[in-house]
Amino acid sequence: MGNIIAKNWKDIKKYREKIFKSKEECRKIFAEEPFEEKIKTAFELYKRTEYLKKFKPLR
Amino acid sequence: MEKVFKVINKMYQERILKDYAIGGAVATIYYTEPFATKDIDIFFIPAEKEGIILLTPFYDFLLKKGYKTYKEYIVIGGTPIQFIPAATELEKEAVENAISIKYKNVGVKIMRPEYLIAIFLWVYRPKDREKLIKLLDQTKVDKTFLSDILKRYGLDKKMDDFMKKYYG
Repeated sequence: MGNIIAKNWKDIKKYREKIFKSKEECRKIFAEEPFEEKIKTAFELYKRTEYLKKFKPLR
Repeated sequence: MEKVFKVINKMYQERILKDYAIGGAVATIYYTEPFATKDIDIFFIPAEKEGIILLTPFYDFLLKKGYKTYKEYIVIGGTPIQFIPAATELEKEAVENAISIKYKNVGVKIMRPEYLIAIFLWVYRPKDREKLIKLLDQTKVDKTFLSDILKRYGLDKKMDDFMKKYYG
């Protein structure tokens, strides 16, 4: 990955397609991780959610 | 997550990220029960200068700080971050109307649930439909505001069909 520029909407669309394709590839990689790794990840994700839920809207 | 939010906060303060909002699964989790997602989606409105639109305004800043990239992600504190340029009017509006949330000294901007619903309805993949159900079942949604968004973006009929299919 490097600095990426666009000249028009078509370029932005192309870049987004690349991003979403990459996301799907990563999901597949994560799905193939060993079970122990997945459990470890699940705990990490739980900690992340706990942190996120502490945030309150600014009035 | 804490490290990610601190870095985002810093980028916003230094005007590297101007208009941005956390969207996708992480924004959904803020309003619903927890569910698994490994990456964080940050939508931003790319700035145009002399006909050139920079899609990675964050890139130099983050690389100078020593963060690594993995495919199209930037990895901060072990969390993959995806910066997505807002490309539709709906996404741009969702970014512009994001709410600010804060914990201790860290503040970030997150999409409102009404915009998340509209975006998931627009994209409408199976995983988006799951998030739609979570948001509709578990979040306090401003129905008038949602209805206005759906009408303006021509999503009201799709919403009716979705409600009929999943809620009878």
